[in-house]
Amino acid sequence: MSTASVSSSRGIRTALSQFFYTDEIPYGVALLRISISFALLLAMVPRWEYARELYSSDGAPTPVWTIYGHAGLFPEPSGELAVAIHSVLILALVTSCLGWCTRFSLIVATIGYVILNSLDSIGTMNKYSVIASHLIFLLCFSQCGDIWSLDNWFRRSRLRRAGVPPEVANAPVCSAAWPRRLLQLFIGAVYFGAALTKLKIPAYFTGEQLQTWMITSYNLPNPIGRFLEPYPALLTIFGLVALVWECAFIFMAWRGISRIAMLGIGTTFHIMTLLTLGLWLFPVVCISAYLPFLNESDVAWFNRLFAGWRERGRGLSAAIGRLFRPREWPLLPTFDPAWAQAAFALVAVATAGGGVALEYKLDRYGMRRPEGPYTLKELDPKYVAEELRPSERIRNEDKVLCFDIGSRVLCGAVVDRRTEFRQGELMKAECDLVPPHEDLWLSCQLLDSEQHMIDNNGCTVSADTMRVIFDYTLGETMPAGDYSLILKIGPDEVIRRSFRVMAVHHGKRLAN
Amino acid sequence: MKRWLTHIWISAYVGALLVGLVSHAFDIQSGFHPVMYFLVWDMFCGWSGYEGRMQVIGEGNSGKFYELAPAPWGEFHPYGYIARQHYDPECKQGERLGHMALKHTKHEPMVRLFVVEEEYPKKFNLPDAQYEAYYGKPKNFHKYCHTRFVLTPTGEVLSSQPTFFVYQYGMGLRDNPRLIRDAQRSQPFIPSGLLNESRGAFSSTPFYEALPGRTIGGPLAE
Repeated sequence: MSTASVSSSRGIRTALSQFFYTDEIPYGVALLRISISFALLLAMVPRWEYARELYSSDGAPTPVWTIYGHAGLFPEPSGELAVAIHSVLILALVTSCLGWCTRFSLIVATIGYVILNSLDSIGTMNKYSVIASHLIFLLCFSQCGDIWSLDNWFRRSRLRRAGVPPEVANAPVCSAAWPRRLLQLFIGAVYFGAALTKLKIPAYFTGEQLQTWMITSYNLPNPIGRFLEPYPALLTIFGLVALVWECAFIFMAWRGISRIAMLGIGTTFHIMTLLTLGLWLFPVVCISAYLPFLNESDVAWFNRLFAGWRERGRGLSAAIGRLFRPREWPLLPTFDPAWAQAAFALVAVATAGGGVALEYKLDRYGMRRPEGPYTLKELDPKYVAEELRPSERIRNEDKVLCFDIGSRVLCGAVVDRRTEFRQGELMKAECDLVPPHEDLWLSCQLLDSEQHMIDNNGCTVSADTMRVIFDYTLGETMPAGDYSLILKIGPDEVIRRSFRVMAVHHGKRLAN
Repeated sequence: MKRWLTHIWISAYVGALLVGLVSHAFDIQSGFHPVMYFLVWDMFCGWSGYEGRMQVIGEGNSGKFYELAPAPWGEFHPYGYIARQHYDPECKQGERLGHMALKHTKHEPMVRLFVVEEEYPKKFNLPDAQYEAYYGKPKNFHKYCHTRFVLTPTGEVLSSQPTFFVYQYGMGLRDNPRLIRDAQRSQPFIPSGLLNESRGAFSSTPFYEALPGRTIGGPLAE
């Protein structure tokens, strides 16, 4: 091996060693611990009263392995066991957030969360929950409980009571950076994988996929999505920016101005998914995943900023600065850490028992009601006849999503919707179809103000085509007036658009 | 020793992430095990222009019909304002949901369970005023109902159809007489195995689905 390659490999090893094993104060992972625990509480607390229904053999679990046609990975728990697991999970998320018996809490939370998610693939398990699973799993290996936690408070109290000077007892504990690095690499891999998914979908690049996602009602109401849906060109631009960002994230999110840019774009992207798609927990989880990118110099910068705000004395910024002032916390009673874990175990057992008892009292299924179990709701025979009618073909009018006229096309879509044109202009009529559809004959008829057909333009549209643009040259001899464009599929009129053609005024000619 | 263990763990985790990326990029065994759901990042991997719902209906001995999902004790809204059963795009969990309702309610003996897939164009989710302003006419709402499974109370499949979109795709193919002629000419008199039915490019699930013909779920304890 040559000297250059030896020194090069030593350089790579040194760089990797510094990347993964530099000692640092775990600010980023501590903040992630707090935020992700809180986010998962938002997801799992509302599901607690439905635990029997969602996760147990006494309900209707929908295990993820049924989607994959795989044998069960573990048995479905009984109703009581599912409620007990769920109760202990909520306890573990609370103690993780507070930082009490942090590592043990995170391990319990990870196991409980993955088990329950795997049991309900339609109402609990989602890509955000998988991302969250990775995050809390990796936190189990970190020292995220060494700062901003009850464990740290107990540790400092123990040291101070043992006579250790305050400046030594209160000094933050450093640990190797590799858990934080894995968290960073993980989120970069997620975005890169998401970019790969988008690269495989041609309709992502024409805005068609985003259009239909923005008018879904599977998530929370998304009025901004419904407002943006008729503008596929704009959606295409947003989509391309998002794709470039997802590809670049893992390479540029590490230092300097590019780090701020990548995280800033990401935060904006996820807030937009809330406003346009109605996703709410996905943005919370993903923005939390950015916290490991926070390092010691960032925290020092924030400390200087808040100190400067405090010096102002009055106003909102001074009040915020005072919130983050250094404090001398009172000493807590000290006891052996082993006793803390024993106390945690006792609290967990009590929580499990209490949870099962409370769920029994709530009696979700109503089996112990004074009037007896619920009876089924009887359905109107006419409604049932409608539901069980033979499957029918999709109506032609349901195959069209948009029909717009304009003169300029950007990203394959009309961008300037107009109702007035001048003689001599080129008019473009864009038709967006709803997937899926079969091969179609699409025709566009031009009618004058007296409903006389002037032109009939048609084309075949194959099943994999979702957008068609018809071009019309409004010649100078075309009389000024009102016209209509009628879009038809086969013989059926689907939609019409009215427009006006204005005359073009020519300059005066000299008499011969 | 501890440092070596850390090396191994870091390599294993990064390797697992790489396996997920490569598997997804080149479509290699990305669905071979449930653990792949934790390694493959295929968010928004497909879409359709239709909003789906699932209804589970029970037919009693008396000829009356009953709603089995949502169950009479109330519904759970996991992500928005619609019930949990509507997040099953292939309507494969209807039998499970129906059995849960039957197990915990007072009812006459059932003879059949129906799992119905409903679809309607997403454009009908637009507010009425916005719809009318854009399309120039009031909403002519129409939902398509497609009976996905007919089951016995014990979970055996009496009949089944592919999903609504596979069915529509099949109807579109059958409109092509040349294609049908070629398919009929090349089919063996006695098929040697289950025929795979393609589902078209716009479903969000794998391209091919084996024709069902097997029992779904175990017998209901009575």
